[in-house]
Amino acid sequence: LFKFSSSQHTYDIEDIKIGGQPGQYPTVMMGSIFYRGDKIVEDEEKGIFDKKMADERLSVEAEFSAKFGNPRIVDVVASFPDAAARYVEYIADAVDSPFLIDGATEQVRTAALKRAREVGVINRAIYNSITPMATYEELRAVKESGIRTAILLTLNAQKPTLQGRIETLENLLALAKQAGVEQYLVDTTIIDTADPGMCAKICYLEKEKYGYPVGCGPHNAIDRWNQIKRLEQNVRLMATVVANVFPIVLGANFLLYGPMKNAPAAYEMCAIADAYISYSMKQEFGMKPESKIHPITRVFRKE
Amino acid sequence: MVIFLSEEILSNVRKAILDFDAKQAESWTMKAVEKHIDLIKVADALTEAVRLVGEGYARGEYFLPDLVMAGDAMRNAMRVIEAELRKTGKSFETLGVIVIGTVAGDIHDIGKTLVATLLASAGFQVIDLGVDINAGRFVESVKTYKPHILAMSALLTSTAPEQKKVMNLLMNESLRNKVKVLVGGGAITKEFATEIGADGFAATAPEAVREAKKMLNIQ
Repeated sequence: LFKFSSSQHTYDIEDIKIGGQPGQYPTVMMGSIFYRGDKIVEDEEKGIFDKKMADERLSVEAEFSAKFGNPRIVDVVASFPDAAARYVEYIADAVDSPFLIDGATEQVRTAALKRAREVGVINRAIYNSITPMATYEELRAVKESGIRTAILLTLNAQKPTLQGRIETLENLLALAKQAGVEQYLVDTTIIDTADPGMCAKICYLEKEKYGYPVGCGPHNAIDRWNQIKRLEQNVRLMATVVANVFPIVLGANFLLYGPMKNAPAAYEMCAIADAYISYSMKQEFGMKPESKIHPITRVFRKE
Repeated sequence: MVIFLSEEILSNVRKAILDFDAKQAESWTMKAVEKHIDLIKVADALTEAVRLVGEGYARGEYFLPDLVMAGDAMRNAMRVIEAELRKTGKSFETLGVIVIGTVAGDIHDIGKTLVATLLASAGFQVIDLGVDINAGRFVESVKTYKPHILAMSALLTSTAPEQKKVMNLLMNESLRNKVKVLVGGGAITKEFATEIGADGFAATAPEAVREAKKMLNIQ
């Protein structure tokens, strides 16, 4: 495979290592819960949900994370401020891992930030996300919360090309610094069906130039394709695997794999890709994984 | 010779759009103006090329970034044409005027821009207000531009009710019967459109063009 020539930033977020050279650490998995249309949500405005089902989802994901060695960061999605606060309270109690504060609007995200601070879990929270459209008020709320880590979304509505997304990164880094954020995770922003190849290359280019941990949500491309033309289940699964593997091969450090209910397939797929990369890095560069557990020692085990 | 040059320039205008090259689109349009080529022909070349990209997008052969870039190239070229029209005091016939924007609290731009691009390529004059537009500004724009259609996008369930606010304000200002309303966006369903009293609904950008034409009885 390859090594990036620039120095790589590696973060330790509550014992989860994220970043580095290909094969240095396993890909961090980010599965979403409470997203629009999630069947466990009973009232998306108030944030009422089936706790038993939510517990079950988190437990299954934790099982696969432990099985393969891919750490997890829970993507907590909300559409309304009250719901966001309620979801944060729940997740703070339900898991020890870091989690993403992910919301449809600035008001939703800042409500979640406030509650994360109130319940004392801001050190585990990651802001998802700072976009080029972030307002002064939003950046101020992020700064006041004391959150250290944020996802930077390379969304360039005027120029959503490879070049346009790269260009927007400088602006995003300036905004993140203004918001007092110290650790940056770059999301190369899948928006259409054909994006995974391009977004994978942006992952590579970002790592080569800046070295910040990077990733994206390739499942969005397949979901969009499925909306346009209903895909057969096996085609959809294979397409999702292909789309997810592209950024991992080009150096991505995290994978927003979509709904958490898909954890079993997503973890296994990612673990296989991580194992191939790890073995190649060992052969070519003599580089072994630095994490205690890695898919290379897990995924092909006979028992 | 003149005919050949004119065709060559128009062909390059089209090519610039199909290459998503905003600088070339502007440059070839300026050349067309310099050579006194009929501006209607230049505008037709631009819209035809964007229409081809739009049709390719609808077939799944072009993609969202392509359409945004083609639209951007067309807008660059149209600015040259509009400046020339202002000098000469002439104007084009269009299928109608459409004011478009994303509702308050919602900063999603791409889907709305896509619809605006396809509407322009179909021959409408489109006034794009941008994103995060409150009810007051939508209504003011109806007073200012007197559009045939007011088009609103909302991607979020939390911002969809803003469309209802606009409808109510149009009623309060006695403007509701002066403009047709087309709604769409990720959070909007046909049922919601009916519930708030919109005249039209579109789930996709190509559908928005068909629906706009239907609303104005254009074949």
